[in-house]
Parts: sequence; structure tokens; C-alpha cells
Amino acid sequence: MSSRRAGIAGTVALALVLLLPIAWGLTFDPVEGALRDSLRPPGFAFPLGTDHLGRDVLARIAHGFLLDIGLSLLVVALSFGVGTALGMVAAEVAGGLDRALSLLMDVTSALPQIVVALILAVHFGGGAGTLVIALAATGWVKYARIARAATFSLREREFVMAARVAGSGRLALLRRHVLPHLLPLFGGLLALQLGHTVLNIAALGFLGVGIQPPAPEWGAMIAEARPYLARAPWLAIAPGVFLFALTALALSLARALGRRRQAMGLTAW
Amino acid sequence: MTPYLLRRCLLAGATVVAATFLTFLLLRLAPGEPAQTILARIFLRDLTATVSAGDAAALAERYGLSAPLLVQYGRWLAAALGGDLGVSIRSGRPVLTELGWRLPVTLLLALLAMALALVLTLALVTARRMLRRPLADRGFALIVTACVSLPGFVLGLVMILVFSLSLDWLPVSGTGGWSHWVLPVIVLALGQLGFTAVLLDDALEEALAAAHIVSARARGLSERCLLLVHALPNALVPLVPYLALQFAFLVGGVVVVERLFALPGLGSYLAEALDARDGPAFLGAVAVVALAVALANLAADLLVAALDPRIRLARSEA
Repeated sequence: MSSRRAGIAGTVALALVLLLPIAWGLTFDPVEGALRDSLRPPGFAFPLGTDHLGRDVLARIAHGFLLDIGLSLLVVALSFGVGTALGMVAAEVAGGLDRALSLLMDVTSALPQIVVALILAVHFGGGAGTLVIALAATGWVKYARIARAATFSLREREFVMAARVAGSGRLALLRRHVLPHLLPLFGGLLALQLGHTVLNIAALGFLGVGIQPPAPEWGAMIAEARPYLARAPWLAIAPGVFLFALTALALSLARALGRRRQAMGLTAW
Repeated sequence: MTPYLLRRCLLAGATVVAATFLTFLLLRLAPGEPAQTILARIFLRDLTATVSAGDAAALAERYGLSAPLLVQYGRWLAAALGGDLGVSIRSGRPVLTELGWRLPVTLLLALLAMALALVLTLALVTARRMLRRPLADRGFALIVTACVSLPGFVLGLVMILVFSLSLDWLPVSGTGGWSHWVLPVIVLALGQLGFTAVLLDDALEEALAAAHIVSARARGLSERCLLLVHALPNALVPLVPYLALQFAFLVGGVVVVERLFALPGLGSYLAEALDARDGPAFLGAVAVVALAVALANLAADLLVAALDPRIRLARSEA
């Protein structure tokens, strides 16, 4: 119990450490900068220093946070929606559709996320849209697997059969009687995927196929900081620390939620 | 056993075909006539130059670019099966030759990183179990969370900063002696460590709960013997399929690490081909990556079936 309480305290502390500077940074402009201010070390006027174009690093980190977390939430919502719907419908309809979905899931999960994003970038170019589609295109599989397996077992339960006998339509059955029982299974996975998505968006930004500059994206900022690593290490370290903290926060949340899932007697994703 | 084996082989093939077909479609449907792009890029070295329609048509005819897309893909697949992945638009060399130069770098990097990650995982998990103190549990949780949350390119930059720029012990990037491999391998291995450590720890938890452990403990065997001789071998079996899934993740890490340390491997080849809009080179690299991941999954399935008779029986009945 005490370790649990310590875990919650740690999570709250991490959230505060992360969010307070970001709230402060949001009050500054992330794109405007004066060249005479370029590569200033952290100090009074610029809490985390400035980059090669004289832009405020804290302001860029703060606005980059909104961008990264917004896109990540979008990816998670899309994966969750598509994956859950496909998994439920496949289990309800069964037969050929179910086998086709299983094949699609196996093929999709065999492709590295980063490589899928690179493939899509060939056609659509870099940018927010490509990024969201690419990450959601690989992210839905886990939800579909869980939803499919859980729907298969729920179908055999009395209350679902009773609803079926009472003349409930298939879609209404899934929505009203199956979906509410699936939702508690996803808490840990949602937080876990959020953490991974933040990392992947930053990694793709670093590779140059994600969000394009001058938009303040954390991975792109770190890539831009590389030539100045020896002279201005804070440029790479500051966004790196925030990226690390945000991911650690999402993962500790995932662990707390996942523990509840285990307590309910449900096993591995 | 045989139908199961056949199904897994078909799945591996389907994965490679799906990946390359998707890439092929996206490459061909991308804006810009391929024949015009080739002419403008190779002969005029200027993407904005206009090329006469006649020249473009002649080239399209010669390389079969006017055929339906499905036929074109069929031709590519047939040639690829015969070992011909086409010619790189950028360099004019056969893609297979170029991949042959790049592949050893990536293989060495991936194998060293995987080996290091496995050694560290075994050390970390057994240390945690043998110490059996609350502090060991906390330390384990801390290390695992740090490894999972710290992206490779951030860790890599920090290590470059410390070991290359400040201490001047190791080179910043490129290839050469063994010292060029130290940082990339460590960065890639630490990226894997978090996941593999959690997986092995979970598997060990399950293995330690088995009835034969209780009976061995009742016979008076030491806890160390229980852990290392009776529980660990069983815990390694469920780890195998996860390691194969992990391989796809490793490939993603390889792309980032090769870019970061300027290593001339498969990952940087993929990124360079994308930057240069070099279709055949990109498609060839995707094919190799998809094939590697599919083979890793296949090998894991077969290995698990060979190691664990329960799975072999269950799946041949299903």
C-alpha cells in the first residue's frame, strides 16, 4: 500500500515538474526570434536558452508539447476506435471476415511502425496527417486483438444471449451489451500507447519525416540542435528531458491502470 | 505439425508481399511521372527541368512503365524472386549490390545490440530475484522505466556529449575501428532492455508459481538452484515469440541509431532513398526489412514449437 501511495505521489510530482514550466513557456512566442540572441545559454531572459535562430527554447518546448500530445491523443483515439470496432464486428460476424481480419492483423504487426511511416511518407510527404495515419495504421491491432478475444467470450454469456433472444439487433447488441464490458480492459493499453506514440512522433520528427520545421516539434528540435551539440548542449538536452518525463509519466499511468486490469483477472495484451 | 508449418510460411510470404505491394502502389501513385522524374534526375540533374513527352514515352516503354500497375508489380516480384531488385535511380547501380554493402553493417549492429540486451536482461532479472529486497525491486522498476522512456536519439546524443565531446574517449560517428560500434550498440541495446526485462520478469514470476517449484522447494533445494536451474529455463520459452515481435521494434531503432551515428547500414539506406525519391532502392530496402521481420517471426514460431511440446500439440490439433 505504501509503495502504491509513493507511486501516486511520484506520478503527481512528475506531472507538476513537467506541466509548470510548460504553462510558463506557453506565454512566450515559439517562432519569433532575434539573431543577436542566438545560442544564448539558459539564464534570466531565456530560462532554457535560445537556439541558433535566437528562438526561446522554453517557448518552443511548451508549444511543441501541445503539438505532440495533441497528435498523440488523436493517434490513440483513432487506433482505439478503429481497432475496437473491427475486433467486435469480426468476432460477432465470425467466419470469413474474422479470418481476413486475423490475417490483416498478423501482417500489420509484422511491419515496424517507423518503416510504415517512412513508406507512407513516400506518397504523402512528411507532415502531421501522414504521421497520424501511419501511427494509427499500425496502432489499431492491439485493440482489435483484445476486443475480438473479449467479444468471443462475452457472446456466450447469458445476458448477451438474453438480449439476442429479446430481438436486439447485432450493432445495438455490440454497442449496448458488449462495448461497456470492453472499455475497462483498455485503460492500461491507452496510456501505454500514448507513451509510445509520443516517442514515435519525436523519433519521426528527428528523422525528418514527421512534423516539419519551423513548427516546434520535440524530435525535430533535437535534430536541429545536433550541429550545435558541442557549443549549445542545452538545445538537445532540454527537449530530451521533457520527452523523457512525458513518456515516463504515461508509462507510470499505464502501470497503475494495468494493475487494475490484472486485478480483474485479465491477462496479457 | 505440417499444416501449422505451412500456415506460418504462407503468413511470412503474405507479409512480405503486402509490405512491398503497398510500397509499390504508394511509390507509383505519388505525384510525378516516373519516366519524367528519371530523365530529369539522371540526365539533366535538375528536378524542375521539363522533359519532352516523346522522350518520356520512349523511356516508359523501355522500362515497362506504361503497363498496368498490377502487371508492373508482378514483374518486379518475379525479378525480385530471381535476385534482381532493379537499378537505383540515384546511383545507377543494382539495388541488390548496394544492399549487399549495407546489410553487414546493420546485421552486426543488430546482433551485437540484441546479444548485449539479452545479457543485461538476464543479469538484471536474476539480480533482482536473488537479492529479494524492496530496494532491488525499486531499482529494477526505475531502470526499466528509464530504459523504456528514454528515446534512442536522446540517449545517443547525451552519450556523444559525455563520451565523445567531453571525455574524448570514443568517436562521434561513422565507421572504422571497434570503437565506432560501442555507442550505437549500447544505445540500441538499452532501448531493448526495458521491454525484455519486464517480459522475462513476468515469465519468471509465472515459472516460479509452478507446482514443480513447490515440490523442489519442499525437497530442500536452495532458492538459487530453484531460480537458475528449475525456473529460468522454463521462463525463457515464452520469451522467444516476444523477442521476434521485438525484432520489428529493433529495426525501427536501427533506422534512428544509424541516422544518429552516420552508420552506412540498411536503415540509413532507407532514409537516403526516401530523401532522394529513389523508388527502386526504397522498394528493395523495404523488401529486405519485411523479409527479415517475417523470417524472425517464423523462426520464433518454429523454435517455440520445438522447445515446448504443449504448443506443438495444441496447434496441430487446432
